[in-house]
Amino acid sequence: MYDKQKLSPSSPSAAVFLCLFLAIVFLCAPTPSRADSLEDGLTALALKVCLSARKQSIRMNWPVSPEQPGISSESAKKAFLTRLSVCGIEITENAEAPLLNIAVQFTPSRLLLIAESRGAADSQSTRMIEIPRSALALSHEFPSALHLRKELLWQQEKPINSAVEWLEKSSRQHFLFLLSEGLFVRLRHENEAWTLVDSTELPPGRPSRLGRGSFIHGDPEKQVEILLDGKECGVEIGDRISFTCKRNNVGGAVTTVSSACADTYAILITGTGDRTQADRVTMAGHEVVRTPMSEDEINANSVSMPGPVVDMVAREDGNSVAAVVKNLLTGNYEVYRVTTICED
Amino acid sequence: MSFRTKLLLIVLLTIFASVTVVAYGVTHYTQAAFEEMDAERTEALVAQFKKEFVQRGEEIASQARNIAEANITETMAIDLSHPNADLSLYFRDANGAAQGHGLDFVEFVKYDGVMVSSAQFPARVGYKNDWVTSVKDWNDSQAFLRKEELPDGVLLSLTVVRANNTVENKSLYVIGGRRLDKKFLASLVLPTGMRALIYTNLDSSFASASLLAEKGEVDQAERFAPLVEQLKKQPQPIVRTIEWTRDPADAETFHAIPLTGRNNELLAIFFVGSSRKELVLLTNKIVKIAAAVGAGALFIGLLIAFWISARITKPVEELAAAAREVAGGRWDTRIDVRGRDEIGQLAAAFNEMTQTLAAQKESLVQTERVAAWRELARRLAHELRNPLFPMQITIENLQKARKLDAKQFLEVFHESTATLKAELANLNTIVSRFSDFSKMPAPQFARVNLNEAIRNAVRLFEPQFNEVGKPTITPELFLTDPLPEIDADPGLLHRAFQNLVLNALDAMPAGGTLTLKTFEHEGNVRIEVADTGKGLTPEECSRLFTPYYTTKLQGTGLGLAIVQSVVSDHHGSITVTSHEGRGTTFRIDLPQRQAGVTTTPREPAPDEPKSAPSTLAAASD
Amino acid sequence: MQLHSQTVSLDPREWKTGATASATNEKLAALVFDRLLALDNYGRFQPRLATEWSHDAAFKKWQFILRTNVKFSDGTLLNAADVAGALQPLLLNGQQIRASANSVVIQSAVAMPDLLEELASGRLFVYRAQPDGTLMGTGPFFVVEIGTEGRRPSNPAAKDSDGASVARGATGTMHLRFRANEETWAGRPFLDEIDVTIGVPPLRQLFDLQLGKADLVELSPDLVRRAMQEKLRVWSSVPVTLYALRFDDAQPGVADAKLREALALSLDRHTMANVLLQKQAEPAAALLPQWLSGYAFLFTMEKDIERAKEIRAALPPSAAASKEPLRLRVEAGGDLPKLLGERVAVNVRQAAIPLQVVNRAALRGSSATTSSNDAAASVHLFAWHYSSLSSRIELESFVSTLNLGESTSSAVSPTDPEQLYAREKKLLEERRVLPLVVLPEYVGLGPNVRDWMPARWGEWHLADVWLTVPESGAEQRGNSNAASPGAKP
Repeated sequence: MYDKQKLSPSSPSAAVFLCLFLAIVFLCAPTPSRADSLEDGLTALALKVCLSARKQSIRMNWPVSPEQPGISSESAKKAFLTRLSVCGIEITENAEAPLLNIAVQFTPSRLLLIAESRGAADSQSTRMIEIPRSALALSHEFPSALHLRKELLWQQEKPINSAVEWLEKSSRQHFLFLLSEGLFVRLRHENEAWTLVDSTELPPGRPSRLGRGSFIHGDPEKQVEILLDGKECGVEIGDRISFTCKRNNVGGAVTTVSSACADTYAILITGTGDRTQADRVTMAGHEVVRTPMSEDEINANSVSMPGPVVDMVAREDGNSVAAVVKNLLTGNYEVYRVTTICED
Repeated sequence: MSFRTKLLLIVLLTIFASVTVVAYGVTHYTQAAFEEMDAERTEALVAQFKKEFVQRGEEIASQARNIAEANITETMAIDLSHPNADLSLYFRDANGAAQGHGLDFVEFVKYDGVMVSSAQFPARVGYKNDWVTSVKDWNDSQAFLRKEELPDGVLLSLTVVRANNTVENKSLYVIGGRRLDKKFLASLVLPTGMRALIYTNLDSSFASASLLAEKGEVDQAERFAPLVEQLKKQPQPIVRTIEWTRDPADAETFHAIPLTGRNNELLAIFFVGSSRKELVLLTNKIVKIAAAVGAGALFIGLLIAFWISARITKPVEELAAAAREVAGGRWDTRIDVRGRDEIGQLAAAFNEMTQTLAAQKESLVQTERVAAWRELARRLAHELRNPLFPMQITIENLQKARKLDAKQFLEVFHESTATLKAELANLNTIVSRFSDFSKMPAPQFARVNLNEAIRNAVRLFEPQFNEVGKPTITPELFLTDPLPEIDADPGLLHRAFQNLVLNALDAMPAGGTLTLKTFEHEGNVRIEVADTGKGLTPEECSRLFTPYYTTKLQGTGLGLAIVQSVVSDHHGSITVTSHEGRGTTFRIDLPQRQAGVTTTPREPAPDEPKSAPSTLAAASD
Repeated sequence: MQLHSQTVSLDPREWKTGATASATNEKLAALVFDRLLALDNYGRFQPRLATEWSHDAAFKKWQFILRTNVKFSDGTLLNAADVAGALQPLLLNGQQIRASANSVVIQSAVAMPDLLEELASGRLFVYRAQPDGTLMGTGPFFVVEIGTEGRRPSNPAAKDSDGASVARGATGTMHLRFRANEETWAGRPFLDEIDVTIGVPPLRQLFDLQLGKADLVELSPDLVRRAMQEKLRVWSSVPVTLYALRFDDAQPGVADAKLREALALSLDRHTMANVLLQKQAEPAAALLPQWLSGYAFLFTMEKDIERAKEIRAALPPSAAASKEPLRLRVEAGGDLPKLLGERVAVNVRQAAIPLQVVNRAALRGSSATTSSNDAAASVHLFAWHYSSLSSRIELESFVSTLNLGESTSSAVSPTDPEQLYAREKKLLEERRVLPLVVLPEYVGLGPNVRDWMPARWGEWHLADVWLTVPESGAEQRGNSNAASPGAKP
């Protein structure tokens, strides 16, 4: 909408020109109340503030709210201030200066940016911009735990039922297969990123609340196998993906991996099984099957996940598992590679 | 008024008076006793109420103390003693405490008077109650009455305040109470006929709904308004009777006792009502019993009176009847002598008297009979002598005339025979008159019109009234018409009237007025025949009806005797009054009916009387 | 599952906007019916019966591609005509829906930027009306039995009723039984059956939860603290119910703006929320809650008892409440509104405004729309349940249902939150409605309930819930409602 050119405050004439230009533009153009991104929204809000308080020194109050995932208050604040300064508004600590309160509030489907200014003689004006929440890009980093390390491989909004890393022997291509919403999704790792190759519909069957299908860890020499509707289905990976299914009865959330330290460990999901709570992925010895682990043992040997672990499949070489997690904070589905680390 | 009636009345009056006096006395003393008992019962009930009050208060105090000393309360007190304590934690505690300790009202108030929790009015939390903090030693205080404000009104509560003093100078107050309402009244033991009410509204206007009874609503509650007003002005116990209906049995006496709060403000009024029904019923009962007793007594009295009077009056009546009998001529009347008391003596005396009278009468009758015979003989002698003397003379003359010549002898002979004949006729007349008198016939009764008979009788003498050469006699007839017919023998009556008229004519030789009257008198028919002759002396009056008594120089003296005989045969009566020089009046009373006689109306036979007078007309006395 | 409500209706066409009973209706309807889409807690619209949607630049025309192979509980397929027929009576005035192949198109003369919010909330369920009047749905459950004391079940839409005896409850309670729909498009739910009892008194609900007789109960706010003390699982939503005062326009007494101002200034919402409701509610200064409008915090609560007294004293002697007290009629049922009403009376009495509380047992399913037939009550305390996820639509409903003024559709541009804020501000300044407190919904959960993932505003998503069987090991799936932790059912 407006010129993004960075202006130096040391050229007053340019600044004046810009302000005049902005003023004409602002006055002529309708002031939008919606924006499609946070950045646009902050810009629009700044415009509105500028219209009412040009070339002023103001105090600003922008409280940080912890419930705003994905909105880094500092960066947003910085962006906002930059836009304000374009129209000559400066921030001061002077108690006499008019106060500008900024609030970022969530409604069920939108983000509301509110600027409330209290001027002289009790005058008050309120400006608002709303942004659809779906327009916000969210990302998070979580600290890793001790003996296990996790790396985020892929995240998406649509639910992921199961994921497995696959190294094609012949081409040495690194794939990430996902089962998501009845589709077999093939991602390939290239250029430091995962790109979508294709997605194939799974064989038709009964719909399931948890999503259809989960990868079975099998012999690395063999093909990829999926547990689908109670049947074992082999997946033919080629130019196209095809499935052959037969009845079987396999289940379980305990996955055996081997580690670099030449021991075989079990990696299992520990949690309540309640999908409203975050799970941990824990490493344990084989005896875990017979002797349950204590809380402290679990805490010492696990890595916490940002949500419930939907599925976990070992990689074909057995060194790591791909864990599909639903991030409770963002609602996104994330695939983590969990590997054991030897401590020297 | 007869003796019996008098006696009856006296007895009745006596009984009535005594019963009344007794009834009144009983009623009065009963009432007094009742009032006293009522006052005692009311006092007892008030005392019971007060005791119940105190007991309740102690119970509430005990519960409030339990709440105040509970661990939870201690924790609350400690927590609330800190500034900025979170009141919301304890918002519902009062409710739980109230339910757990069986109290209707529980409130927790902080040391600064702020209400922390209220079971009955939770919305008031946070507001101040300065009255609580104004007292320092609640734990020694008694229960008191209080107006408890509720969301939907005001109730009376028996309240106790206890303090938890865990934190010095920052007590937590526990206000506990129970409502004073129907249930409290129900806990009182009320004797029959008594009831207890509480009036709890002390706003300016009377509210019927605030008058509580143990069960149900109070009828006509507005009747208590004046009592309440009075108590509001002056809170002292008063007594008032309320008459609910016109029936006094429905009245109720109320003792109103003011109930005050801590600051002696009037908060409620306690009414003890005691029904006057019992008293009224008792009184009515007494009256009824008295009436029954009285009626019974009167009845018995009546019987006694009757009996007594019978005992007394019957003999007296018998005596009177006997006396009447005697007066009526039955001199041999006797009455039974019963007992030896005065009545018996009287009866005996009567009998003696009648016996004596009868004997005397016999001798008197005998004497009179002798006298009458003597008189008759004398009269007869006299009567007979009259014609006999001339006869004797004549015969002597005749004897003498024998010596005369034939012509003279014949003349004397004719003269003497004429004289002899006349005198013989006279003698005949005298004899037949006597004969007639001796055989007066028994009356043959028929219905007779007296007026007609009198007119007939008078008509007979009309020629004589205006006889030439003699003084005029003027007949005046005052005959009541219509005059009832009477049972009478017409012939005898006619004869009697003739004699009377004749008698009257004879009494007026110089002329005068003959007055005849007929009229009804006392159930009888009265005939008056009055003349204006020279009258009679009393002595003559008394002997008037004696046969052969006559005042006339001539006359047999039988006329009036015949009249009397006829009157007597007709069961009537005859009286004579006379004044010398003025005249004489004869009065005859004849009954209209004769006992045991069935008469038929007589057919008028005008001829009959005419023939009779020719025989009787001569019977003038 | 035990709910407070005395009545229930599974027909969205019958629901009254804003009624507290509608909350229960929506929860139960969500078991049987689906919407076109849903909004998750992260603000993202998730496809339901519609898999894709698009709109024109002006937001006046939207197209929704429908999911294929969706069956009703009788096995018949859902088609666009069904969707159009179901939603047309439920859409806002001026919105037209028509079926087109495998999609539906919704059009309006005015822009509908919040159409997705509209379709994702409230009563916008898709159903098929049967000739006998019952409704069929595509949802994860279907109704098996409806029974009340003394009445036989009468729902002919039930499938596979196995002749089990009608659940009979105590007086005033009603049972509904829902059975899992094996053929539902989203996958069979984990629970086999849901047995719902409505009309259960709050305390009994708590006891039943403690005793394990119920897995899920609605908790009344005054029992929440106690439930927590008893270490029960309690979940709370965002504030979804507003208690407010409304002045009856027909009463001349409260037409005086000064009187209303005095009344408003005397209200102590803070104590109402934090003491009387033991912090289970929030004081409300706005008509729409913060989580819905985003700007509610801009409204300040006015409380100034001294100023209230001054204003009151300055009123003429002929003003209302001088001779006779104002009458406050509490229209919502239950102890809580009564308590609020009493507190309001106590508050305003401080300002020398006599107010008398008149209680009335709430009519079944009543809402603030119940007309003030009793001419004597000039103030009404009512409850309003927020059912729309669009603040504009919610405010519009509020205004029109309570007759607070001209419709907002022309007054407020649907795309401008500032105008919406200004509109709400104006309504609050007129003081014809005085918000008091907002309350969340509280749910008590049994220890066996798993995957409890409701929307913040109260959609329960019971189809995702499953139960463990305590202490007796894992059960075979298919026959029970249990699964061991960690295992996929």
